[in-house]
Amino acid sequence: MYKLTTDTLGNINSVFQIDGVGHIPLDPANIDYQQYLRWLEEGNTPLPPDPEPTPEPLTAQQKLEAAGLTVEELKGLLGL
Amino acid sequence: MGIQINGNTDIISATDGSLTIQGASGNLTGNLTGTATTAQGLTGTPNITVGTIGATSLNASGVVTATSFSGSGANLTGIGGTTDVRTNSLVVSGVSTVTTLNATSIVGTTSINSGQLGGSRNVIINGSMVVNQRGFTGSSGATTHNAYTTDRFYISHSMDGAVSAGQTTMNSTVGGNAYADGFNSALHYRVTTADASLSANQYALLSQPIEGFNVQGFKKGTANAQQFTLSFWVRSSLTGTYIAELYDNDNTRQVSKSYTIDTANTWEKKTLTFPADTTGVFDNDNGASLYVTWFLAAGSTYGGGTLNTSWASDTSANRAVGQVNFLATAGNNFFLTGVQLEVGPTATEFERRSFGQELALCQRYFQKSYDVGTAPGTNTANGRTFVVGRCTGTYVDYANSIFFPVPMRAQPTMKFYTQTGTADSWFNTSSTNPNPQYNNRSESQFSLYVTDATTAGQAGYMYGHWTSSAEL
Repeated sequence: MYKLTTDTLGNINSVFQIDGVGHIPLDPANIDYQQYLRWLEEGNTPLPPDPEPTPEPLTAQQKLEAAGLTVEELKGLLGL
Repeated sequence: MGIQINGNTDIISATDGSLTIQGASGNLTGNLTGTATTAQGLTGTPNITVGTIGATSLNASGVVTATSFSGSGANLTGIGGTTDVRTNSLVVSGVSTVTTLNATSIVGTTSINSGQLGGSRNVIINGSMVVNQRGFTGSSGATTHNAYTTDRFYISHSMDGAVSAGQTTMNSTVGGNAYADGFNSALHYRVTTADASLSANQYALLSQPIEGFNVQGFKKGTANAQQFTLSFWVRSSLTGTYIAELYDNDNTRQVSKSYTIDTANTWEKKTLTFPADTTGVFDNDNGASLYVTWFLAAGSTYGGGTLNTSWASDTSANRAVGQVNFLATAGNNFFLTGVQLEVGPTATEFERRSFGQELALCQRYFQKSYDVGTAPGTNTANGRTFVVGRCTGTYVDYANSIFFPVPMRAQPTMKFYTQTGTADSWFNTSSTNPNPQYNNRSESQFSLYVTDATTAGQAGYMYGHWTSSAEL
């Protein structure tokens, strides 16, 4: 069985053969890719890529750290 | 005071029939004609200048110097087997057979055996079976259909039995004459489960595919097409007829030759010359153009016709006619080494390359992070590859590009292993050990990423082993 895989931009850039040869590039000169194409011609369908994981929502503290602010600085900004 | 003969004095008669000239530098000049032309008993160091010899035979035990020599070369006989013939110029217009040519300089030579003079005559890679990156051995070898074994050689089969193929290290006992000829490794193919009765479409073979770039010297498909000469050392536990084949994958043409294993379990050197083919040009690219194949079994689909010993369009039944069924008995052993395929009608000495050269040639098709002698999947820290990355929130992008030591034939298939040998997994800092994915790759490098939503904003690293395959 094959599964499509993507790059970090979400573009499909290889095929992973599960319990097989590994990651196969979409290169017509690659014999594993040629075999994958024959497998497709036989009417088979690969598994879709894994969905992008949903990032866990940031906590308020993480948002502050990401902004480079301390709690006291934030209070000062808000006049508290 | 010597004797000087001038004018019309024609005959000197001596009572014993001899003429003796003595002195430090006696000269005998003029014409010596007639039937009394045998000069015998000349002693000392006289100069003898002969203008014309009207004789059928001139015998000399010393040096004879002549300004010209004419007559049929066929009459130049009697030169001993250990006698030197020396000349400043020897012109031979036809074919000359010379067992040993000892020359300090050869000029004007454009070809040897219709091929190039030297360097890379052998288009087979790893013909001496010294490179074995996958680590298959004679006792634990490759077993599956179309699996590569020693580098660049693969096994292919359709059968009810089972086989194993890997590298065997030779010694004087195992290697015999092949070991004595300088071969320390061989490909060992053995039958682990017999298939004594082949159905029509069953077969077994060993093969090496060669890419088009490397076989242009045969000039196939042109008016200047060249012969192919295949030579190899072979040892088999089963005597009889075997078939070797050249298969033109670009034009689906093939030619076969039979050879005989004369004596069981004995190394034999075989040389097969295949004809030139003026039909079907090899593609000049990185695809598989020529398969060099050793059949080991063939059902009637591949052996039911008449063996095709001239290049022709592929007719399956004519490919392996007469091939013995090597699969018939479990424990049968077939060894192969010293494989050379070259242009021309003559098998030359096996072309020795350094191990580094041979390894680099193999790495165009397969390479790995492990040490050369370590099989993929082995638990080892040696060679594990580190990459450092940054989590973007949905994935960790590992910025390091890993460059291959040798650019590969095509973009390779990648297989990943943890340090301890778990396939399709790498160790990472979050300990989830994901299966890395390509972010970018080419024939020269690759970079990786993993999906990971738990370490946003953090840096991380991961490591593991890899193999890359761009085999034909």
